[in-house]
Amino acid sequence: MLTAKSHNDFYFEHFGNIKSDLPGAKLQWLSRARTEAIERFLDCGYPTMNVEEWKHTNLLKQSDSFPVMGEPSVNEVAERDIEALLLDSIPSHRMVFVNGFFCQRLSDVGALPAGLRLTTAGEMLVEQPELMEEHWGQPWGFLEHRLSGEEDPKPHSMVALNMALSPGGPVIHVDRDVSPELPIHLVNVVVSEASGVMSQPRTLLIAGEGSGVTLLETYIGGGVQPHMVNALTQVRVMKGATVRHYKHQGEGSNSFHLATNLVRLDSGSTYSGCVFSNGGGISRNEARVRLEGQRGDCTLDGIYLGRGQQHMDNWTRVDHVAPYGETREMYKGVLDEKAEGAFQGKVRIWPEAIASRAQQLNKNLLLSEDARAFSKPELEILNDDVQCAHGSTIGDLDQECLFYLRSRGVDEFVARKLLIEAFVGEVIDRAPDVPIRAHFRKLFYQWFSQAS
Amino acid sequence: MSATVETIKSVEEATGGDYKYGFVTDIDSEFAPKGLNEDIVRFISQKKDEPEWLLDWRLKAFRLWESSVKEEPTWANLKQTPMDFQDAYYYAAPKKGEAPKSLDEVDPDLLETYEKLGIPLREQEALAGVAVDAVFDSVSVATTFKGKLAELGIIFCPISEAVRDHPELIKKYLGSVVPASDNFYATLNSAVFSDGSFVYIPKGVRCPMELSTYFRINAAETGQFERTLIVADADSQVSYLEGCTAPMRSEHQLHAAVVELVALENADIKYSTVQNWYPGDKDGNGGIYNFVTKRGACRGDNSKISWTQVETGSAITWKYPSVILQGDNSIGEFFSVAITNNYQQADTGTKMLHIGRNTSSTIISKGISAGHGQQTYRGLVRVQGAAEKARNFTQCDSLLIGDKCGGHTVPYIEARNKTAKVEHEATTSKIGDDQLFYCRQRGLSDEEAVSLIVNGFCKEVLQKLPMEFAVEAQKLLGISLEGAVG
Amino acid sequence: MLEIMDLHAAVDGKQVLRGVNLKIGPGELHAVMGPNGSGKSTLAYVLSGRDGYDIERGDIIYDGKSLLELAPEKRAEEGIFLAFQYPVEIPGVSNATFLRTAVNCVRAARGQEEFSATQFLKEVRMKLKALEMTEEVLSRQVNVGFSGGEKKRNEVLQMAMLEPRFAVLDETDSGLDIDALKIVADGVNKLRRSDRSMLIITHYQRLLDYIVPDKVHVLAKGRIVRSGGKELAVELEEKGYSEFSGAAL
Repeated sequence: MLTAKSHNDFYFEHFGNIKSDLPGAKLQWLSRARTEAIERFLDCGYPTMNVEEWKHTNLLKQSDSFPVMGEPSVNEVAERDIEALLLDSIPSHRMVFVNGFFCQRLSDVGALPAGLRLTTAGEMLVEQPELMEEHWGQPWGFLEHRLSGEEDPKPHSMVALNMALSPGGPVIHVDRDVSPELPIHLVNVVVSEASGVMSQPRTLLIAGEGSGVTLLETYIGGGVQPHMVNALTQVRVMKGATVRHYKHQGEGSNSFHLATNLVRLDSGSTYSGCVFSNGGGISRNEARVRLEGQRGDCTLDGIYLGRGQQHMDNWTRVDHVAPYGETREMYKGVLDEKAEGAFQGKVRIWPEAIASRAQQLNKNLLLSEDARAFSKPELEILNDDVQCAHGSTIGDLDQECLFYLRSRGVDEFVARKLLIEAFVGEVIDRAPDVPIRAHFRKLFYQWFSQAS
Repeated sequence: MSATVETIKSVEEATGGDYKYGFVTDIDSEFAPKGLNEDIVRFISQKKDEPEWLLDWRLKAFRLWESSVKEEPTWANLKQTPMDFQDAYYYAAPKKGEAPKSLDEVDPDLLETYEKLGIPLREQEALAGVAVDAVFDSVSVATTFKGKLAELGIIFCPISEAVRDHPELIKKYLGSVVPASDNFYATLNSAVFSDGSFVYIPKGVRCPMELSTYFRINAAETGQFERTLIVADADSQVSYLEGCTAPMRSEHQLHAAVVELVALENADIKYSTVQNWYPGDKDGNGGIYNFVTKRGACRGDNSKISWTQVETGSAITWKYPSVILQGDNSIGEFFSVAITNNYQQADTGTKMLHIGRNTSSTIISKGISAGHGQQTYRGLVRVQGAAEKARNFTQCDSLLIGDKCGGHTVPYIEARNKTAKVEHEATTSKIGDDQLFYCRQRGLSDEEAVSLIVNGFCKEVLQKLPMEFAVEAQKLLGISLEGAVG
Repeated sequence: MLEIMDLHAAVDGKQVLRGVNLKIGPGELHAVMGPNGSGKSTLAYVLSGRDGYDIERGDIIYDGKSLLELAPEKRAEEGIFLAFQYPVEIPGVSNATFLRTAVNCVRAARGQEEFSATQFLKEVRMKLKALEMTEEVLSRQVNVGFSGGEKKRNEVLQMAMLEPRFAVLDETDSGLDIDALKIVADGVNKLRRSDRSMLIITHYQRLLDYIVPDKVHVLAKGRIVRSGGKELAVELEEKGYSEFSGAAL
């Protein structure tokens, strides 16, 4: 069993071993940022349940088994395995990463339209280090109350760990006024057959002014050994741009999936995010969005489907810093067997952000005696020119509806499926991309059909 | 409409929104020395002629508090000047010889004070059908209608008297809902509580009148730590009112009360509060720090506890009247209106803990923030594993007036039983320009319009108050929002 | 066809039906009338197999077999249909999906071939036409945002699609104005057949002006206290239920 001390020693030593091999190691700003990040992590350690933001997720129970790093060449993945895991193949520009490392062989980027760049951080750090410094170097601005500087750094230690150790993931750059027809599909496969793995995927998307792009992230794989995926995705939506950002998080039950999305919206831009989560033993999907320009429009949706002993934590924070912004959130959970689901969402309307609107909704279905749900939709409003509302419900399927269907001859299994599909369908149908809706529905059917 | 007219009138009467209860009664008081230590705790206990077991209980609480004094809670959304607990008086009592045997023996200055507050204590003048226990600084000065209540076996007396006359009840129930170790302020209260009311309603008795306690802080630099305990035995019913005022003083004064309610089988307790402690001046100087622990336990099946509160006073309000729903089919309710104006802050809400089967709870919270006021609704609804078919409905709405105030909503919802149904809804908005315009077009002034709209916004909760309180509460809403518009 | 024998049923430990006896032959249409709280809706729910009703005594024999042990969907397969007093709203599920799922479940159970999407559409269009309803109703969510009349007509449409042999109509007239009532009654009449029995549960006689029953029964305090022909309904309308208020204890 590792103590906190030996954890620290391990990470510090590991960082020392790999830092000169990390992409951009020679860039001063980057090596400084990485050193700062590892120090920050060593200071804070893993977030504990004493931190309000992590109140529902207990990492410490399992963290002893984390600290083994994946290597680029250790694990072989066959193409057909990927296809099987993906369920269906959406036409896209696809990049595949195995345990956080880019895998050229499995990727299928295809012909890229003019103005769309799809590459890795390693390449970008060589070609356009200034751009990377601006957008990739310092996510801290997101993480603290910029105006008050009052936030506790402890919740962010996983971001720090990713920043220090990530071997550099995909970088997507969309030029001004470019709208690629096909979505970009990033597939992160984790394989931990022989030994435990900790992967640190890190993604950057820059949507230039007036551009429009769809990004789908898929996290799949697993293995017999416990492993951890600690992902960081940064999205910058520039003036008037539109980003549609989907994620399927579906690793096996030995996975720990911790992910942070940092999104910044400039004026007149639109971000629409939806996380479909049915994998991992313990998962936590965190989204932090800042509406920094006027008339930002943000949608944050989520579906979490849990059974067995799964624990699924959803955490969102939206800051309306500028006027006329609008946020809509809808998270729905379906929890069966001994699964636990948590939603903590906070919308903060700053004093300057006049005429803001925000809506938050969290609904949970408990399908078994032992399933549990926790919900904390939170509004923090610092000016009076707002319209905000939130709602939360926890309960079983509506027995009236169930009886109505059964009285029409629909057997209980089918009736339940119909009602649960309608329940999550409300979220799925909010997705602007029709092929993604179909994809999410398939994932739902697959999940439902695996019911024991 | 008539309510509005009355509100406006009372605003005018209140001469520019000044706090009309802000006078000081010049009365000779006896203080314990400033500061807090074991000797003070012993002093208080001795003054009250308490038995050994109660002194031990206090000392245990004091030692616990002392060991945690560095850990004054900070999780609430409040900005406060740190309190110097050693620079305050923990006991102040009007000087007098023997305890008064009847109202005729009560100091006439005190009677006059309560008349000024609108609470005439003389029974012949008393509010129809309301029995009053008046607590002045640290001691209960008069309890009315005692005789009549005694005929029914109802005990309504200062808690100090109950310690003497009904030790078995006090021993059994004191601290049984809010243990001394519960939280920082409850621990402090347990060590130094001075007086408060005790109510016992015997089996099968419906209390024929409203019982009321009126709290008054008079002395300067004094904390008030009253303790209220209400026990409703099987099949009984009681409605209890609590009112509070304090003089205007430039320093902050601490009020850390504990209220415990116990409802046995089929019992029904309704507890209403109009809290109008001095809120400080319009620049945020002075005012009461109101840190109160209120909790009820529905111990018996089919019991019910209902909290209604109108919170217009105090510089800081920190209180979460809660219900532990242990008995099957028990019911918990929380209805709240809170107003923060000028520099007032409030972090308030409730906890509903569903333990028994078929338990249900309703939470209606209306928050109004104006000026630089900051207000947080903080609530917890928890359904335990065994709470089959538990139900909760929560509605919390915030209304914001002016661009310097804040309204926050922090609900915690936890369900561990699939047959539970928990629903939470909340909205935050400003007074609609179109509503204001509509009213003004019909001839109302800005202030009348706001008052009308606010009264409408709070109506659901105000309706829950007993009649006498509802009128007072409506007036207070108007006064508290004075100067909020324009 | 259907026989209710000495049926005793309780809800939450409270006895509601206290020995109901009723016999309905093939193609017959019976009406059960009674004051509020007489147990009318309980009877409808017990017939369709809703949870939460304890059958303390007695039986319901349908086609020579007891219904009591059957799940609601099994009863539907056997041809029992309940038109709800308050049709349930199901957000997120379209009427078309709902109908097709139900019809195919029932057909499969009855050994009939399931409808393909086109067959289903053809079938439903035919019924819609017969009931003078528009296709727009199919794309709407089940009963969500429907007016009272629309909800009841939607019940009739479901009945037409599921082709039951025994239909229970629970307070079909509640919440309808006279025009809507006529339309719904007209729909029900179109579905009357010699091999389809119906039981109409109602408080008021007015529905029976439009759907004429073969027999009328009065339910009071959990028992059938009087039976007669359709003229009994008229009599009840005139005299009210007061004469039964003390009965059947």
